[in-house]
Amino acid sequence: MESISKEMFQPAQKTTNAEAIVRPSLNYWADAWRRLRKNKLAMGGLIILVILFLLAIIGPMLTPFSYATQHLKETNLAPSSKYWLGTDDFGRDMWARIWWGTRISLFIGLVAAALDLVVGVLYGSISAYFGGKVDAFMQRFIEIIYSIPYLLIAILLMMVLGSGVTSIILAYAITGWVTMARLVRGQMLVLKEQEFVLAARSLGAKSWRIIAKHLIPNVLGVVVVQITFVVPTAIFVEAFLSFIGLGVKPPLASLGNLLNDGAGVMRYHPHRLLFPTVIFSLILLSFNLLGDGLRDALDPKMRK
Amino acid sequence: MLTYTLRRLLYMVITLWIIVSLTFFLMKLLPGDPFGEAITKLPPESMQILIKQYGLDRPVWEQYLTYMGHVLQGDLGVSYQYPTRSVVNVIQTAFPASFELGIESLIIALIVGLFLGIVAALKHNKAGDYTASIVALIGISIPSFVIGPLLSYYIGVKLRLLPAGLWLGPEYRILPALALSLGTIAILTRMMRASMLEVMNQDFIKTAKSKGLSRKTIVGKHMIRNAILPVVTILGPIAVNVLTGTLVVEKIFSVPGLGNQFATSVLSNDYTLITGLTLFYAGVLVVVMFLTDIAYNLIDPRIRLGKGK
Repeated sequence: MESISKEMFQPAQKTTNAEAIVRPSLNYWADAWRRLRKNKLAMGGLIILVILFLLAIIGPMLTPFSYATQHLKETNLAPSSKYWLGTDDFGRDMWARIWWGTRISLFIGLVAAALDLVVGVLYGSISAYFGGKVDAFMQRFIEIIYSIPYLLIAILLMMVLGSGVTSIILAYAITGWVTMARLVRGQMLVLKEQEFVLAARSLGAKSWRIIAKHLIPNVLGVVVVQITFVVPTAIFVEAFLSFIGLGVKPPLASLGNLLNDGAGVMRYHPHRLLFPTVIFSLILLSFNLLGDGLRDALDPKMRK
Repeated sequence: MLTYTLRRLLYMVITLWIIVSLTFFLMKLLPGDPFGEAITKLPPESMQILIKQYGLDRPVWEQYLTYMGHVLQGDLGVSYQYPTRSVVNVIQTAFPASFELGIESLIIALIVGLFLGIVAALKHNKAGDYTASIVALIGISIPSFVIGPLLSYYIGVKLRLLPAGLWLGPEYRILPALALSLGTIAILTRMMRASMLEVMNQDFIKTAKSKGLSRKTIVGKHMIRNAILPVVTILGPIAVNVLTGTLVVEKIFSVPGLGNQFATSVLSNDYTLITGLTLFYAGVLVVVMFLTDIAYNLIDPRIRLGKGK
């Protein structure tokens, strides 16, 4: 048998770069974004929303007129080069009023969603994680709140608190968090039985840490989708309350009271109903489109 | 099933009790005066008599207990606005119009919504689907208080096809019911479409097809029957939708219903009427939700509520 000499061995040439990561790894959110980008309707909604947000911020600055200044000689004008969207019955510039209204409506929607997020997610997680009696008690409480018709309570609250942006947000937030809490709880009940929670617990992680670091990040997908439906609902509530005369009071503008005023004079000055309607419907429409798209993109069950 | 029903019944009572108490105490915190402008013109003695007559001089808890006692006996008090009419009386005269409007809009919504949902699913990703989806999106993004005035103006005033308001004959019903049903149509279309699409992918549909059943039988007996089940669950939220919708639609079309009454009582601080009407609305909704739950349980034998996991 031929002996094996040392010279027979040679270091192999490194031919390929097999270990290198060719493509960036896709995490959950990057993956969802990739899928969302392919959804034309959802992207359309997102683009419209970005434009509306920008206009709500810079819109009032583009015209020399303030939303509250009255021009009593120039009331109810049709759109012209001076007043781009016409004026209302006190001669206030509609362009400025509409974008101020959009700003306030979006503000109400976003703050209500933020409150909803904090209260709902916390309540849902605590209820699901601790389970047993805590869960049973917290669920009974939710069931009761859930069956209270929120618009009726909102009306009563508005009467007590007085009309204004804060009251509207509060009136919505008091009953609005329930859906979010139910949703989060449902997801968490499944999640908390999974191995990574057991692993975290056996490593000695405290309950709060498990909830905050392990459970909540895993339900964020559902939460984000829900938020896109909460914002339009809150905006709708504002418009509804303003319509029955309990919402934001003039001279401050909100889409709700612009719609209400516009509906009253529609026969003679259709432009005063038309423009707020278009903006209001666009906001609701884009949030709904975006929400539908996000749900398809974030929900693993919908993957093909 | 019986324990479940009893438990739900208990919750229903608790919910109603909380709503009564909540409304009562919120009303006590209200600014303003229930007697309106008249109070400043009255001599103090007469005012004392009035306050005493309505029991407003006694401590709050005593007023609360008296009120609860009366509510249990079906007496919701006397309206401040119309001293000759009791709240129950107001409800009795105004409710029929609201009820009729609600039912009519619900029927329109069920027919149109379910039909659109079925068409959308059967023509998935074709023109029919897109049309139905667009109708649903419009219904969601344009609320009834915008559609209402538009319908009233264009069809009622400009084209003069139908009356623009009031509540006199059958032709006066069409526009308000239509305005009210649009949102519900949207919800039902989306729900029915999603539910149909899910059923269509099931194995028993393949079996039915391979057995050589006609398309009519498959769609009618296998798909729709199964797809309609989840829709029953949203009847509760839909009832809420219709009910709050009547508040604004009645105002727009001057329908002499409860919603209109509610709006006026809000503006005139009529405590007892607001409390009574809120309680009445809440009661109707809670009962509808309860019935929906029970009905769902009865219809679908696969669901056994209240038996744990």
